[in-house]
Parts: sequence; structure tokens; C-alpha cells
Amino acid sequence: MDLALIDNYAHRGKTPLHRASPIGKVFLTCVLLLGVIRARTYLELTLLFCCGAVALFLSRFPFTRLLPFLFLPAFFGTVFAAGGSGAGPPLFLIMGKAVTAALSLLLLLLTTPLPRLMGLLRVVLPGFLADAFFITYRSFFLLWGSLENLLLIYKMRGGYSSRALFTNLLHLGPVLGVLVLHALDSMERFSWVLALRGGSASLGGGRVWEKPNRYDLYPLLLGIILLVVVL
Amino acid sequence: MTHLHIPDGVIPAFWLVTGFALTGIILALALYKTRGEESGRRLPRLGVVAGVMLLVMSVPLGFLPVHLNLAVLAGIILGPWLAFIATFLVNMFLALVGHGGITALGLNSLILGLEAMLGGWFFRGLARKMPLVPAAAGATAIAMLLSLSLLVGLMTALDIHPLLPGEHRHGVGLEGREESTTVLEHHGYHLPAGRSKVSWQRFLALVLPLGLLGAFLEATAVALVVAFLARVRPDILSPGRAGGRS
Repeated sequence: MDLALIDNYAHRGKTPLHRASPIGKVFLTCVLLLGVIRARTYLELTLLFCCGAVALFLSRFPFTRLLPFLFLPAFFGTVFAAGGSGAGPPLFLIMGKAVTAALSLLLLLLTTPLPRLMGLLRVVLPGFLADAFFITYRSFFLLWGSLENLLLIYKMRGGYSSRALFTNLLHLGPVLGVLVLHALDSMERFSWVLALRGGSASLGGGRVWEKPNRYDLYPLLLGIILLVVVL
Repeated sequence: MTHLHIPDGVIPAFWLVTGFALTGIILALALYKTRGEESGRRLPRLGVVAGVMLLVMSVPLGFLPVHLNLAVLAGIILGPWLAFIATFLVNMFLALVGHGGITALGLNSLILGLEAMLGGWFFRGLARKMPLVPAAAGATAIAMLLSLSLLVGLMTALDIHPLLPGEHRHGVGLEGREESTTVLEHHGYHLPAGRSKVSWQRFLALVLPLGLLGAFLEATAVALVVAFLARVRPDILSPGRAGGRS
């Protein structure tokens, strides 16, 4: 789950889908998800998957880099589906649904930087949750560097082996402890910054979202066509 | 994989809505319960701990998609209510990248959030009676087993597994008898006869080993982190310390 890759791609992309406002892309994603939930045949699922894949292809995301992201939904879908009827069409249908739903969400996140999506989230979420979500997002990337360094040290000192699960875990304890400490220290500094700003927990921003633009026609039209064809 | 992420397309809409409703209620309660805490400290603490959880979930421990989640550690550091909010944020983030369904966000948050809350409460209780490290390991193991039981129990009791027969009476047959169909049949699929009894055995055979392995790994990891924190910065564990010894 390489969130840094998603974030980097969403920020650097210049395709029409990247330029469209979040509202158009959220509409397209919702239609795709609705289609996935309603889909009962492989044909419907394949159509939905192809639409998402073509949109991603047009947004110039290398498909091979997408495969690790689709592995987890496929795995969890299989765990849930295999418990039921065993090998048979439903297993693959459930797995297909999980993968196609994941693809449609990745389409949104790979073409929309999270801060832009946050404006829309503020409309539906309480301000505190939206702010906390933003800090979670920022913390992730701030701590990512620390974790990379810690893991590098841990590997260089022979603490990691790809086959020794339990040994990895034993060695990982202090690494995680240092990470938590580092995170909490950053948190304290951040608390001081907020205190300097007057003790307010809010990061501001208000409930204002990005206005639609001409590039929104692309996801909107695709969404409407899908809505008519699939549903 | 220390918890299961329910993907999209597995659960019928009614239960998805119920999951969102229950999560919404607990979230509202959590926001209400923590409103008295110093606002300038609450927000960054929550965001940063959620960020750590997200980071840890990105690091696979082996070739299988096994990762830690540190939900109980969040419960220990943040307290049960803020930890529920943290798990909701983490699940929302994960759902956006396809790790757990966005339509199952409510149910996934409920399962992981309750694990964090219960873990936080158990730790507080156990830390009064035993040293911090076994208290953390015990609290994590119990919370994870309860969380796993909740997942399996929810799916059994509510018959929300899509491939299992459920008594969905929705029509009257030619001879005037009520026709009962499976959830799957209700949605247009037909299972071979005799599959129903095997289904749960197979599901449990798949889920239980992974769940138990997850509980063991998670309990070990949380105990190791708590041991480290108790040595270096015991004040961080103060919400749950309550007289416990490290």
C-alpha cells in the first residue's frame, strides 16, 4: 500500500481527469460503486472494470503499478467468498466486485490530491473529524520518512528477514516505540503551534468546496453514460 | 492481517446502512465524551496516532498480507473514545485506497473501533492488577478475540454472508406455501444443494487461523511497544497506568 505513490501521482498529474474538480470525479466514483453493488453478471462487472481501467489509462497511470493495490481487495474478497460456496462463479464474482470497487476509489484518489478532496469532505463530516483526517494525512507523510530511516537501520543491523515473521516482530517492537515517541513529540510541537494560534482546534477552511470547471464534463459524461447503460 | 477488511459487494445494503448508523452514533458519542479535553491537544494527538496506525498498516510482516494495526495501542494512548475516532479515520483512509470497502466503512470501523475501545478499557482495568506489559498483551489479545468474534457473530447471527442461505421469505409459492430463498438466490444466484453446512466451516477455517495469528502477533507487538514506552516515557501510558507496575 504505497500511499506516497498515490499522493505523488495525484499532485503531479496534468491530464483532464486530474484537472476536473473533485465533485465530478466523486460522481463518477459513486456511479461505479453503485454499479459494482448492483452487478450480478460478469459482463456488467467487466464493463465497469474496463471503464475504470480506461479512465486510469487515460490519466496515464502505469497499470502495472496498480496491481499491488488490487491484490489486497482481491485477497479479502476471496477470503469472504471462498467461505461460502467454494470454487465456483460466485467466488470470482465477489472477488471481482471487491477489485472493481477498489479500482474506482483508486481512480478518484490517483487523480485528486487529498487536500482538494478534503474540501468536499468538510461538507459531510463535522469540522473536528475533517481536521483530524487532514492531520492524519499529513502525519502519515511526516512519519513516513522516519519509518523508512528506522527500517533501513533495522535491516542494516540484520533485524529483518523476509521469512522470519516472529523475529521481525520482536525486533520491530523498539522501532515502533521510537516511531510512536517521535510522533507524539511532533504532536506536542503541533499543540504549541495551535496554542500560539489562539488555542483553537480548528484548522479553518470552512465548508467551501472547489467549483466545477469545464474538465468536469469528462467524468460527468462518463458517469451519466454508465448510469444509463449499467443501471 | 490482524483484522478483516470487509470488501465492497459482499454485504447487503441494509446491513451496510446499519453499520454506518451504529458507527455514526458511537462517533457522535465519542465526540461528545471527549469535548471537555483540551481542544488544542486533542486534535493533533488523535491525528498523529491515527497516522502511526496507518503507517504500521502499510508495512507487511511477511509474504502474506499480514500487518499490525495498533488499534489497542491507540486505545491505551488516546483513551477508548478518541481511539474509536482514530480507527474511523484510518478506515476511511484505507477505504479510499481500496483496502476495505467504502460501502463497508461503517461495519469495518465498528469492528476495529470496538477493538480499540475494548482494548483501552481492558488495559485500564488490568493495569491496576498487574504490570503494564502483561496488561497490554492481555488487553490486546482479549480485545482482538472479541473483535473477531464480533465479525463472525455478526455475519452468523444476521446472516449477512452473501453465499450463505438465509431465511429471506419474500413470496408465496404456487401451492400457497411461503417460499424461502437464500440471500444469494434473492440476488439472482443459485447455489448447489448441500453447500450451506459446509460454508461456515470453510469460512471459519479460513478466518480463524488468520485471526488467531493476528491476535498473537498484535498482542506481542503492543506488549513490546508498551515495554519500550514504559522504560523511556512512562507518562505516555498515564491514562491507563492507574497504579500499574512496568
